[in-house]
Amino acid sequence: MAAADAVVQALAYLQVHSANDGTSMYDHLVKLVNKVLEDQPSKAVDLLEASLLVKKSTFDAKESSPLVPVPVVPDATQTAAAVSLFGDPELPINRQTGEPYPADPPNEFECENMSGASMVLDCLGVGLGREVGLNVALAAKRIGEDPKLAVKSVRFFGKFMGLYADYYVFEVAFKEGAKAAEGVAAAAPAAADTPAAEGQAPAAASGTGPAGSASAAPEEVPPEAPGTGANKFTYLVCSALGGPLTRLPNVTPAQVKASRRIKKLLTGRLTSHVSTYPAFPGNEANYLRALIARIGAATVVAPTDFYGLNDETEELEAAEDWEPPPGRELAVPSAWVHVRPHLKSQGRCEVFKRELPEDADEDEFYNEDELEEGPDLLASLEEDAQLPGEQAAWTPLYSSSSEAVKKQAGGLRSLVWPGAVCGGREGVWTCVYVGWGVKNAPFVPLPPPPVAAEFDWAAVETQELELKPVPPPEDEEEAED
Amino acid sequence: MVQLEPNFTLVLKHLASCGAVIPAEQQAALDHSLPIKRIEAGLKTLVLWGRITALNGKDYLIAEGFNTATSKDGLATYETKYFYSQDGARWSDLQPVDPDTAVRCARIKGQLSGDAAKNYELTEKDPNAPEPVEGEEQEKEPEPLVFQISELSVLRYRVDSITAATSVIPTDSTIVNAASQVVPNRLFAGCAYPEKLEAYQHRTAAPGSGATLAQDLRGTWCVHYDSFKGVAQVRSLLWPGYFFYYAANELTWGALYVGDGNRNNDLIFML
Repeated sequence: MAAADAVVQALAYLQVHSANDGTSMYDHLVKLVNKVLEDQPSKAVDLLEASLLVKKSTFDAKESSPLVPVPVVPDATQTAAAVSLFGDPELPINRQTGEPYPADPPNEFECENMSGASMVLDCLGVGLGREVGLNVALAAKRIGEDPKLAVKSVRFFGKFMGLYADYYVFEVAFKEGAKAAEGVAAAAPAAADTPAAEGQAPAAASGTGPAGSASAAPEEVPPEAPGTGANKFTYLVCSALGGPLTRLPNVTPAQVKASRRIKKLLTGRLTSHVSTYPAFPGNEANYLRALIARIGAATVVAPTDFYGLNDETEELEAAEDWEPPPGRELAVPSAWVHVRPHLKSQGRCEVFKRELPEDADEDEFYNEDELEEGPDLLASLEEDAQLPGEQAAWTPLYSSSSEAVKKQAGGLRSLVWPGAVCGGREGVWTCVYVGWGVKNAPFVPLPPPPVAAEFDWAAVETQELELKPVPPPEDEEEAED
Repeated sequence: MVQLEPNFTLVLKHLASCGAVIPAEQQAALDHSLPIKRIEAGLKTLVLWGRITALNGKDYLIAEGFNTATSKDGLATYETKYFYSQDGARWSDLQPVDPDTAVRCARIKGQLSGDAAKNYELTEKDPNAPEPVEGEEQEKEPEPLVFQISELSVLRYRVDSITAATSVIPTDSTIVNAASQVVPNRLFAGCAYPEKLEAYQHRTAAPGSGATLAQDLRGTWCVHYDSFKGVAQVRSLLWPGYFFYYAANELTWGALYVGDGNRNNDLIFML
């Protein structure tokens, strides 16, 4: 009995499949004996070589190298991220229990009817088309339902095209009390700005900019607080829908002013350098944010009478009794109003005025920027400044060539910011920007600064250097000779 | 399978993300009207070239068709005919302009009005008038010549300028046959490196000449290549609104222009 068991155990041991060789001792010995019986080598020594030969010539489909080279598959991350927008988000699975981690309850947020909006824009022949519009709607939903971001509302601002990559920009408003963290990917704009504005640096270090600019604006205009004016909304950008989002920093008035003097194409990388002359205080993230501030203030509109101004809170409220006008009637500028505060030439929505010293006249003390009065909120598009040749700033968009088609869409296209459009049909309305971030205005590049007439000796004299040491008296030297 | 002519639906699908879109109603109408016009005009191919925006909202859709293309002196000449439509259903001829009118059309800036019957007035100094002699007072100024340039001439001029500077095809996707005609290369194997400008050429370059978009002025083209899907988008920066796509896996390509027809003269400052 024991002997029979031992044989069975021995056989079982020999038949253990080895992962390395793909075969077992038993199979190998079987093959070896078969080969020896076939070859019938005369010497015993050949037995060892036969064994090695058998081992070498064994073909194992799994272990041998592939006969065709493995194709190099390009990176699928972007497409995988895009496909993850559809359906519910996949939850990571807890290794121990095999169950997915419980998801945090999704955030409650507001947004417009985005798929309806993409249909309206498709009818008018503007925007990004139905397919991309659906992707955009789902990306906005992902942003809105993210419990960590905890936004109050999401809106698709638009798409900026760039040289190497594009930007999809989403406008979010945070709930009251939520901390709005500082933006990432910004250069040190504050650090670059303050030395120029903080008066005269020591002469040795004053290579930056002519002295005249610092004295003209000794006090820097402060940026608007987050949640107000130009910084009312926060902007999240991604290069591909479904991809990682970057929060753009808040915009400063200096950046808005500088962005008005340059005309640059975006590269698609937020850390790119923008402009050397005239110097832009920041990198592409700041430049993009300044463009968004200007385009948003000029082209974010809503149908007339849709919003009413609540006198107490100074906020816009949707009116309850708005009746959507028929489609074609939305194709006139009088049917739309601005719903963002006007961005002044100072770079802010609300003008910042320095403290008026006593017995100084307002009109004489304040400079041009501080005295500017802009249009009110909810100003009609009809009153926008006309282009040369008495051309209105907004041109119509129709969805149908025939006026008799029912339930048409109508909209407007901006001439000042090509790519900014608005449109509506049967109560669904929207506005979007798709463009290069370039304004349709005659561009005059800043000429180089005037050649200095005379070297500024006063600035060179400095007390920092030590006085030249006094040479030793001469009669001592002669005495040594 | 190599394509013989661009597929309009695929062009719109791949270029929609650039903002090159057509209103839904016009897109539906084109499906019927382009084949009808192609037969009426007796052309071998007729494709949608693009859309020139107009101030009154009635944008001009432009269709381009040709029968043969010949290769002569290192250039491929396409005998193209252009048509315009403002609703996508009815097409009208867009007559070529002569060189003198073309020079005058170049002086008309801004967006077109959308009224096909409109005439622009241009005044020029009369070259035949006697030169004013200095020191003597003139009795009357020589009357300047007034030219009436039709909007359709300006439209045709803009279309011609854009076509001459763009009309991109993949390199070596055409071939010269025994009759010196430039025909689609049915054995085209695709571009080796679609992310490079060398993979694309102007259609007017003779096949095999080696002249590609890489020889164009640097900074006037940009390429976006999605290596996973194998789709490249080539965008013109000098004529913003011209987009070309190439899909490597399907071996299809096509282009569309959506804009007002003006050249971007500030490009040097924008890069």
